[in-house]
Amino acid sequence: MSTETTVHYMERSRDYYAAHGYNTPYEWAHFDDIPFAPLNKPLAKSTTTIITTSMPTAKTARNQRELHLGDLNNPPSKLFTDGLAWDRDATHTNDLGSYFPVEELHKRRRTGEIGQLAQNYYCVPTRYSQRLTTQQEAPAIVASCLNDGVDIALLVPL
Amino acid sequence: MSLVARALEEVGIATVVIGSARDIVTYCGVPRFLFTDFPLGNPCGRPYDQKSQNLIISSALSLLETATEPGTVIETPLVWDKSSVWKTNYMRVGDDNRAGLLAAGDARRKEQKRQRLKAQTPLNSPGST
Repeated sequence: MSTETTVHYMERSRDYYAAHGYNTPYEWAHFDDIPFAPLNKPLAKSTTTIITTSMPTAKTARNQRELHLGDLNNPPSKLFTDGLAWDRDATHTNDLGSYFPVEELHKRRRTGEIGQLAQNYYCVPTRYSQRLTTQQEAPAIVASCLNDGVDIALLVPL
Repeated sequence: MSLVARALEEVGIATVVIGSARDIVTYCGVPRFLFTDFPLGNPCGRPYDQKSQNLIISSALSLLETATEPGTVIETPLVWDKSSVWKTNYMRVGDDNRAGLLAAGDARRKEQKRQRLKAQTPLNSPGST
């Protein structure tokens, strides 16, 4: 059995969907330039949010994925991952902390390692269309984060 | 998700993407990426393992404090298991499953066509208001 150092997901998914009869390969987003915002205040004075690709209900996870804002200071005990692409053979998503680090952040807020948690967290749909993400979800999240005074966003795609 | 990170950085909000699809995230280009070589599904640590979950969030916060240039990638030392069989099995295509995958694709296209036709059915057909 061969082993790989890292899975090449772009190549793997191209081959996988080609085997399903989809012969137009997906074009992954690519940019030559990368924006960069340095963290301009200490962690202990920063306001942090979480952005996940998991969804608030089983129905939205399966087939009606849309942007959802939730209360980060009253977080859910469960989020939903049905319908998303992840490795069901190797692992599971029964433990929220393995993909949505809200307890880790609350723990660090209590010790003073980080400052406030933001008002909202975000469930972002994974979409085939990069245009919808860029023109709809991203601007909505940016506006909400600016309104909430967010300094740091942890993005945790499954 | 990488597109959202880029949009946030453009307005001055510092981000870190935490995950396991290194080629996809780095191909897009994000300011900071914390990579753990785990199966997709557990970007924040092994299920029910506080030690790995703590390590990943500590590493992410450290990356936020220390990165000085865009495209900074840090890899955690965590290992899923010694065999790495999961790396071979995920989305595997082979002679033994090729026919089944094509049949699944055909079934999906058929269902999508059925849904499209259903959506095109006029609502003002006789009897409707």
